Amino acid sequence: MINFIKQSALVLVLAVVFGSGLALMYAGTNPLYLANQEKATLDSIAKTIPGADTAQNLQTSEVESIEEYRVYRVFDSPEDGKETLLGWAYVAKGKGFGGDIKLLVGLNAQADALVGIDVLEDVETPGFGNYINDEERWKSKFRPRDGKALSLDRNLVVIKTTPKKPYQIQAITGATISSKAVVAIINDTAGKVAAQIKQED
Amino acid sequence: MTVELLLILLTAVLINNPVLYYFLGLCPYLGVSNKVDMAFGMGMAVTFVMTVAASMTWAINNLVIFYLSTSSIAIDLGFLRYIIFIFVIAGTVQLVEMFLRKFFPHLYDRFGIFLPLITTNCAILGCCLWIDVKGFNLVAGEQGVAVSWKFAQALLFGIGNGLGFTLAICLMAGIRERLRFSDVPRDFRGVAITLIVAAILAMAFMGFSGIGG
Amino acid sequence: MADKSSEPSSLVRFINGILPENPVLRLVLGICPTLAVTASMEGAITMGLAATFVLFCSNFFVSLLKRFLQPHLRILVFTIIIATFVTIVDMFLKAFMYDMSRTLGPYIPLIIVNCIIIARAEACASKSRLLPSLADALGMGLGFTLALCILASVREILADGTWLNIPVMWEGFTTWTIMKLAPGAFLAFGLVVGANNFIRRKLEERKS
Repeated sequence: MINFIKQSALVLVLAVVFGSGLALMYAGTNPLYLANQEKATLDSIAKTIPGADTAQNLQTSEVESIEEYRVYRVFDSPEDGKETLLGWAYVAKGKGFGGDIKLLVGLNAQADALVGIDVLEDVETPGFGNYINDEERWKSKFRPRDGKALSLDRNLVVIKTTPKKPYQIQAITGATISSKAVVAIINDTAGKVAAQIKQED
Repeated sequence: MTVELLLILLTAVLINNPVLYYFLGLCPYLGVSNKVDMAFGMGMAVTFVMTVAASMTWAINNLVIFYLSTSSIAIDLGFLRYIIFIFVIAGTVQLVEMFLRKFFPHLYDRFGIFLPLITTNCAILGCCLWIDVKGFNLVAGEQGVAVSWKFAQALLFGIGNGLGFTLAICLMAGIRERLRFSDVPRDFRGVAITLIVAAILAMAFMGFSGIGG
Repeated sequence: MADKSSEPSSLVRFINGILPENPVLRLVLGICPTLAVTASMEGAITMGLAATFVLFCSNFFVSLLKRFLQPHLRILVFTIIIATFVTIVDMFLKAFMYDMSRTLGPYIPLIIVNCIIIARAEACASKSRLLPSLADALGMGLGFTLALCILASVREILADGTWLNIPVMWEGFTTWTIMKLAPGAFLAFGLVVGANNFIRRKLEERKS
């Protein structure tokens, strides 16, 4: 019986000591972790929305009334001047070749055209499908061409040859399924989100 | 909805196989894959523990830890998550052991050696951890149907991972039963040749990618 | 408790862990992370050091508490200690090495079930005095890190033509993408274990 109490006491003391140690450490590091997460999102937004990287004081705020997607309002508010709306960014998810793909999709200030994408998470095949992460090979195709952003009026189409129409996107060589998956995610979500943003404004 | 659940199961078994894609549960995979019947027994035991552990850790993670952190009390116990997970798994294994010893002594004699091993099988803890990565956990504001829907996803993910483990270990045992009669270079006998066979199996499994797309 | 005179000294323990009884190459323990994080050198080094830290702390506490440990509660105490320090490592990485923590993802918490750590607690720390246990932890930890680095070197050089992100192969080298994927991991590990067996056999033959 005494032995039993001794043993339980040991486990209890250990649990309390380690538990409180962890709680202290958690209190110290969790704010840093959350800040890291936010910084990662901000970095991604700065890469996606044109003008965000040169903004003097880049700010984002989450549009809380849209529940289905996480939509960010991206604006520049320099200390001396007045706010300028740079665009909108939202997080979209869908199935890729190897698993889920998580995208950050950027829309222009009027929410009627696509201005860029960034891949937040993917498990596509290295050397093929994961080129969806590559600026030159893939992400640049969603940026405004000759100053004209991709309109949301028409669904984007993946083709294997050099595109002639603005809504055509050339697939990554050897990774047609991954390319189609990314475009499908955009087609499925962009119109819906844009409509909701316009309603908000 | 049914299609989506079926896809979760298929993905876990074939595309993101715990052993051949995520490298989980390799210790029993190399250790207990000598004979098909032993391998199958191990696989079934792991499947059972995994299903129970996945659903229990999901419930604790979402209905207790997550609920506490978003409710008005706002106590964040996230830092205890890993400790809770490993204890749930260890407890489940103990339960299974006691249950088998009492009601199926014959099975217990056969499983006997594997059962304590299952606690440190990384495939099980891995399965509980990947539920978060796969997005089967609740996010702020989800209620009602969404709760049971996400639970069903996590449960099927657990079953799928167990079946995937069973499939991989049985395939390997089948190959190793024949490997015994082949002329393997001396230094590659045992672990080394098993790993090289696993490489070929993993390559074959890569062919399943894209089923979900 | 083992007889003191037959107990190997701290130095012997330290060296033993690195090569003669290398946990990964000789004892084939803790291989899940070995395969998962060795696609790049950076991941391998981080994982190796994280596991060494956990191993060191768990051996420290287990060795201190060994007098109070009883058979039926032993594993429970080991688990509490290991899980605590793994959580600490995880928090540290999330706060100070965010990108790395995202790359390694759930493989960091999986250190809890890394067989090396619980095996050393059981086989060494719960039976030896403090100093030998710590030496053992450092030796085994470095041995683990070394094995990870060997494997990661093979895989990173063949898959990307780089080592620690420094290009080392000639211009126009065709990268072997497969080495980055699961089959390449199994293949490279199988070959490294085989090569290690071969070298050991040759050394022993020369000795006798």
